[in-house]
Amino acid sequence: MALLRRILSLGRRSQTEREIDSELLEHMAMCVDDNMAQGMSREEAERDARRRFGNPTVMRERVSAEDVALGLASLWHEVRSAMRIFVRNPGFAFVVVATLALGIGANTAIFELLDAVLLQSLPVKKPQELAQVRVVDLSTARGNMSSGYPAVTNLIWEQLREDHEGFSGIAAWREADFSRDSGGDARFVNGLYVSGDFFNVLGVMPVAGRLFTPQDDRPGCGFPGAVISYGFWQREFGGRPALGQKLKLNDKSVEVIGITPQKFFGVAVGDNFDVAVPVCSQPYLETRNVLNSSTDWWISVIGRVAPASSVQQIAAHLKSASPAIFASTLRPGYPAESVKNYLKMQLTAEPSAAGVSMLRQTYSDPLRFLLGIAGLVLLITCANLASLMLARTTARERDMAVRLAIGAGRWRLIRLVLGESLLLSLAGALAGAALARALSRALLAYLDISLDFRLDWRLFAFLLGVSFLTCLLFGLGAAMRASRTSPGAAMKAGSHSMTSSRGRLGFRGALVVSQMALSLVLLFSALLFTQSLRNLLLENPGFEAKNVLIARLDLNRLHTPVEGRAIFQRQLLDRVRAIPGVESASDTNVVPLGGSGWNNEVWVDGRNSTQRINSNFSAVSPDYFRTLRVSILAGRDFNDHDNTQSPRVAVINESFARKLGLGANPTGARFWRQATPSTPEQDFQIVGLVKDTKYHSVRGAFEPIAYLALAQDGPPDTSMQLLIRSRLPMEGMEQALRLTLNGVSSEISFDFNGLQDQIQQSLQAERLLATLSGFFGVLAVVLAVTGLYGVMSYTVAERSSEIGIRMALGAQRSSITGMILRKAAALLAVGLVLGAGLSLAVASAASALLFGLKPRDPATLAGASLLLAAATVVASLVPSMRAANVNPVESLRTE
Amino acid sequence: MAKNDLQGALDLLILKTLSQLDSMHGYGILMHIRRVSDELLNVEEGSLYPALHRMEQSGWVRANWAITDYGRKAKWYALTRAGREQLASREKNWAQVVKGVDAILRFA
Repeated sequence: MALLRRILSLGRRSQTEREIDSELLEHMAMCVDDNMAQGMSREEAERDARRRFGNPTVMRERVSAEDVALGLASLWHEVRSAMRIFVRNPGFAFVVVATLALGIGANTAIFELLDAVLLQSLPVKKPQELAQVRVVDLSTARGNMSSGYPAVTNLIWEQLREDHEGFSGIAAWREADFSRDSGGDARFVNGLYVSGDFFNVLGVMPVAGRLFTPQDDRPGCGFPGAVISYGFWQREFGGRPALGQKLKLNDKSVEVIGITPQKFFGVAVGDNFDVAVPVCSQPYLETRNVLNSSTDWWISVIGRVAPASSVQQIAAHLKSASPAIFASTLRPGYPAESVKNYLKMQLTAEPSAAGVSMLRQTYSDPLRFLLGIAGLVLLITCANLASLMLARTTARERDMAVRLAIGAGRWRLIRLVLGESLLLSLAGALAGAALARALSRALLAYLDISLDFRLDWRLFAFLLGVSFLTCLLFGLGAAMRASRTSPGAAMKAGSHSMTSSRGRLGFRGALVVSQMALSLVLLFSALLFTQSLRNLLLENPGFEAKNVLIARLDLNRLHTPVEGRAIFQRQLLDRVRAIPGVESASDTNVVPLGGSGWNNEVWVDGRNSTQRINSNFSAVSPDYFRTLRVSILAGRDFNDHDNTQSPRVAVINESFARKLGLGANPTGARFWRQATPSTPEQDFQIVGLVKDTKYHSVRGAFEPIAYLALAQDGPPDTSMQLLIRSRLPMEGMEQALRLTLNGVSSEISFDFNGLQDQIQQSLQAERLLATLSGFFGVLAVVLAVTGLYGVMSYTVAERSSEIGIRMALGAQRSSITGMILRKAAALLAVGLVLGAGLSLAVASAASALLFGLKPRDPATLAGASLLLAAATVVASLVPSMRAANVNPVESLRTE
Repeated sequence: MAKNDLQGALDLLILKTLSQLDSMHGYGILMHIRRVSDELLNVEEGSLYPALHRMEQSGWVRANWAITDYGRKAKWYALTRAGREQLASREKNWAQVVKGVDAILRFA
């Protein structure tokens, strides 16, 4: 193939071109020979040949234009000559590459995060075959739902393991924290309970030792071994041989039997596991055995779809098998009134190639929005660069005209300019990719999440797409202008027209206007998110979180018998209260806004039990309300006389009283709570009414809460969650607590967190949005303003002779300044109108992400416009002053 | 339907010339066309060389450097098999074009 051979000979461009040259040269020579043979003199013959032949450069260009391979090669040639230009003129190239790197880097960093959280498949064998099994509607289920992922009971899982029609293999898993300390400051590892077939179903191979098999996962297995992750192996053992080494988890010793590959992090994106143990070890590691419970929804099921089957078929099969599965897994403990609902529950299957992730719920919308914002910033960057390139091309008009005059084709000129922008955008993309690495790492550190970034084709496609797009966007305008150069006009020496051509500023003006419009959108959204975050931070949760420390204590190692625990825990609480600086302290099983919750149906004593509401619960010790500064509106706080011997009492909040229609003073009234897996129906006497507080999240509305006396709520377990209000700074308080707790027993392990910090951590996604959109907003304004400054300076320079004439004819400096400022104001006005329209259109997309303000908040839009207008005036002031300082004599003399 | 663009005429002229002369350089092709057509057809260098180059890439002609009768080094072109097939189909095509144009001119 001739074409193939040519493409293979790419790079030998000069040789092919020389060949064309010499062929044409020979043609001329033959022509001269002929002419001379017909009797012309040598001079005449040569002149005639040249006349007939025309411009040899044009000729060569036309011949080589036919050559496909040569076309490619000449693009490379263009890039090389562009490179030479940039080496000679590094300032321009540096500015462009740095600007592009910022734009592309920011985009790539956010895309990387989005890719890792939302798009990437699990790093296992054939992830697209994976599917998870879950209950269609878990809201009717009763019991303990402690998993953040779709979960079933162990009994249901065992049924699924026996009958997994349509799956070639099926496995179960559950995340758990295992403690590694033996008293003192708590240390946890991210643990994973896995079924015996888990690693096999996912197709994970050990890098050392062996992974679990179904033989390891048998009822009553004890603690047969632990599989550790690669990361944990490196951290804990420094990569030294770990097989056979002993690990202590929850005070139980276990042998390391295998190590998983570096890439494997489990099934939940964002949660890297450290240690995996078999499901059958659960009763051995924890105080409560959940394996035979039909009210503990804790384990998640994932399977590999068999080649002959599909997720739909499996879902259909599960639907028909559900009645039998639920009937056979019902245990006597299940609340009698809810059995009917339990038997009606259904299982289904859905694709799970990307695994599951808590991060998805929290971050998918903010990340998508941020990617959009970053895209707009890139557009503004491109507009800025387009303006810059255009100015540069205009300055090079003479150069272009010379090229045209000596025979370069217009396509060749377009290629020349595009070659330059291609080179710049590739350099920008490379620098941007490097920057993105750093940026995305910083983002992860800021968000305090662990994600595995993998370079995958999506990222490469994204980078490549972005850089070509930017190249086209910012280079094309300049390229088209270059090709439209008219050689005659441009060659006229010092051609300074009296007025600038309208079309030229027209295009640059359009660029500035679009920059203005886009920056307004970004500024507007930045202001929206910042205000939304501010609203959330200022939102009154009904209690005072400042200066309150959460101390989680693990008393398991003390082995206090059940009957001694209540007294021991009360004495411990009293010792904490006695620490100097502690104002008040209380024990509770639910820290508000901490992510955990507990709710049941309640109804008023004596009324029809069908008039029920759903209420949240919280079991607290005396002093809880004083510690959180929740005012008691009526009745009393709990006291030490509320114990197992006295009648059951409760304190309710306003919402509870209102929803049950209990009136202004509900004290003395009684309500019932539905039966739970561990207790029958119980009635409580209301002894107090407190103000509303937020329970689940700052964003939500106030919900009914019933506070129960901790001392009356079943036998105490072996952990405490203390809320401590102190006058000491947090570090000092923690230190004092360490001393006190150590003084009681070195076997107590504990960890601390500020209540305020915990609430702020729950607003991480909002904070991310506000910070980044603020950053992008400022960046956009800076870019737009520099763009405007450039265009205005350009206008002033171009119109200096016109301004000179005006001044010579008696125009005042103020009117010249006004003339320039009016021009800027016109650009700004068009930009603001367009931007306002765009902003309002974009805002509705943000509505779900906002708190406490409308997406089309007019005040915010006005604020953003004002900010942009102020920046614009500042940017155009300097050029307009310069215009006023034009010296008419000098500017006219240059003509 | 046959491809009956008149512009294909140049390709046809070059192909036919090469089939008549076996192998020839660009200048010779030009001269041949001018001489045989009694100077009625004057192909321009600016069209000839791009056309030759295009044909070479399409594999219709092959080229190598050789010495002319007058001792100059020139690039000689010759038809390949694909070129001959191309010529045959173009000749047929041309005849149809001529017939068609003729019919239109004679329409009274």
